[in-house]
Amino acid sequence: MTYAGILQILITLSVMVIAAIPLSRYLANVFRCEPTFLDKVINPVESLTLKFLKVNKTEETDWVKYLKTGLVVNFLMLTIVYSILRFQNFLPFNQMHYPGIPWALDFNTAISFITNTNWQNYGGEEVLSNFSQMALVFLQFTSAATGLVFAVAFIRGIIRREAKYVGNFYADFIKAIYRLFLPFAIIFAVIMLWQGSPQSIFTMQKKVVNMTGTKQSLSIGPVASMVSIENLGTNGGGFYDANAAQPYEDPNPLTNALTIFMMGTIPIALFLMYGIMTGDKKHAWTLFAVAMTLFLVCLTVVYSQEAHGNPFLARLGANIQVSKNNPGGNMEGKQERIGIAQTSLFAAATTAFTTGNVDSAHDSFMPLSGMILIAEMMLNLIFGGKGVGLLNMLTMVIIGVFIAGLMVGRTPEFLGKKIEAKEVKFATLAMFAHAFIILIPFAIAIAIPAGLAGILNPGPHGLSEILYAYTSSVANNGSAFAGLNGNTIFYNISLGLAIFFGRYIPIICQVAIAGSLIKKKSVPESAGTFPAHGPLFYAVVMGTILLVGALTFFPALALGPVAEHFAMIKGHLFY
Amino acid sequence: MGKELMKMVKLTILLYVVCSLAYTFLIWSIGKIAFPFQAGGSIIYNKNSKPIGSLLIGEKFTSPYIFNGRPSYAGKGYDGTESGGSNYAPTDGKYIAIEKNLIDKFLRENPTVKKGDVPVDIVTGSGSGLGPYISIAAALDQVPRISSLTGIPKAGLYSLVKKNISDRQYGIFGTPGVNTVKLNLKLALLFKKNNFKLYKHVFKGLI
Repeated sequence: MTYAGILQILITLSVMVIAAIPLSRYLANVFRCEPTFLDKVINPVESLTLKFLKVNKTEETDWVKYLKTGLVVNFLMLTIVYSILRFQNFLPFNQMHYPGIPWALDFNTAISFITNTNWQNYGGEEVLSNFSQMALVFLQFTSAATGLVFAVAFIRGIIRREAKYVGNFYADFIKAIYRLFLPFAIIFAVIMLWQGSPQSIFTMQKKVVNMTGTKQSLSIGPVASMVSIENLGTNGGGFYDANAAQPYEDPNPLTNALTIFMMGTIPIALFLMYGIMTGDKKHAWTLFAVAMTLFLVCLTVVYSQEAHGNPFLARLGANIQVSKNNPGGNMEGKQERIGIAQTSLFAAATTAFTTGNVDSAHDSFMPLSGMILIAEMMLNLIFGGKGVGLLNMLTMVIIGVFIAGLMVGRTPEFLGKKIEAKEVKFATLAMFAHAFIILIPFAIAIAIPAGLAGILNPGPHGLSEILYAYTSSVANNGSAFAGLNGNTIFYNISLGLAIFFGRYIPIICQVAIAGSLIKKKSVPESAGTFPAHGPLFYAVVMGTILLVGALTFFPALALGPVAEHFAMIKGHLFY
Repeated sequence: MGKELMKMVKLTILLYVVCSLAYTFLIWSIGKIAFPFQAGGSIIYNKNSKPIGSLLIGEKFTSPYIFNGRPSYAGKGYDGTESGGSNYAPTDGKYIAIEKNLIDKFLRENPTVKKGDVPVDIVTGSGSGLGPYISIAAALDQVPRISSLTGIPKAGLYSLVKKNISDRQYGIFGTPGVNTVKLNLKLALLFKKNNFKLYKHVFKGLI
């Protein structure tokens, strides 16, 4: 670790937090229908859209209808994109004449993109036409908006008292896209263009003859437009097989920092927006502190491990010590110019914010850094993806408040509402569903030949590859230990199902909690009320997360990355 | 229900048109007008206006006469249509065997470098196999070899490397490094001046 490295990490993170504060105010105003500075431009377009859809935005619905509308709309979008990919050979902008995507891979890809996962069992530039890539961009907008509006519905469930309706799905959804994702995506796409990301629609490959006379083909396409929304929407599915490790997606260290900024700022802002909407900013900042502590601990482990480097290479004669002219550290799978510090920050961020975009080969990380990346996705609440991270954090809060209530023998309360059996049941179900959908398919995969066939690296690392795959799918992350060959019928289907259930079961439980909370009347604060902020609350939430997380997942991590780490220290290689 | 479904279908189609088609074409037209060089892939041309590569994408520089890049796992090496890293785990025996070969090869080709001093980036693959950058140490270590093979004085080559260092961006972001595409293009100019026959032999794409 170097001072220059730590400095650039701190600068990047500080800018994100500072930018998140005004953004959170803006978002709170958008979803409370209060005036914002973009009204003059967007109001006319928005009302025209709602008129076209024949939607009356003041007509709100209860949680069941809100959820149902969201799920049906998701399904319709999935169908369009599935068909476009399946029949891309009959569609435009396919200058390389790529054939239609086989059904199993298409099933996996379409589900993966509608759920904000962006797990990719294909190499973008090798199989997809520009038209198909553009169709995926559509889902990158809508899946991010879906997560966001469900989180907004949940927040309304907390703040409204003795009410029934959580909002109008159409109006919220259009707002999320018109007032957040679309304008920001345009701004950042132009910045990425300026910095070097290509943007072509009618060209898929450029042929060149290098200065040494070697022939080379370069894949280009609508990259800039995809890079901006894939990160802003915490989608993470890149244009290229190597995602942001391909220099066209991440041309220089500045764009690397900017990409991290794009992934992280909105999830942080959502935590703060929640504070503004509930009127309890201290509460939101306490949750922010929990998430930020976890993030910094994870980042420190990843950075120190990567900066330390691979002892086996040192023994062979490589210099892994950092010096003025030599980056040192574990450089396998990393871009030289981006460097160890930025790459570690990127990796920790992409798994915390469940983006899944990668600027390096995670499979080649040191064992303990790999473990941290998996653990961040297992928790899935270190700010997390669009809306979903906040929902998961609040699920943990409900469980934490319930446990604390049991300990002192009072009915637990949360922001003025009694937490009762129904809420706790749904919260527990959401939490356990997440763990079960990761661990059970993982256990099946390591027990059958079809699962083991995909492994690249032998020994405990192979186990980590499979564990990473299911964790990334269920957490709707999408990054991979990419050595694992996931493009088989077994993995396409099983990962596709894990993604599907991993996304929708927790969301259904969480919106149901909102539906139950919204009916309750508010309990006046008394001397016995457990404050939802401050050090004690911080400790309760942190304790719940660590206990639940550690107890559920530690055994699996011990068999994979932890075992690999100790083997490495002993100088043991796997064949 | 039918009316409700109609709304959903309309929403889906409308957003498809806005977010997929209109958005991509908007960025595309901004690229055409404001950033045509970047939008086309930062392609550079030789004096006959033939495209010779991209400033952002590394090339297969394996000739001992020029600055070599990092090992590449993109296709058969620096294939711009198949980005990808090795994905080898640090404890994979097969990987360590490959690394042993790479390190020994570098030591053999650059006898002035001592065992234990091989810059780690020059013997490991980048994440996409297409990164054009190598560390400053990796560039400096290759100078004695290039000098002895081409007869270009070492001092000239050292100053060439120093002039082509990309420092931390704005003094803050990233790690200093050397872009091999830019560096070798500049090296070609030195070849042209010092050893025209070798220039024609090595830099076929520039003639």
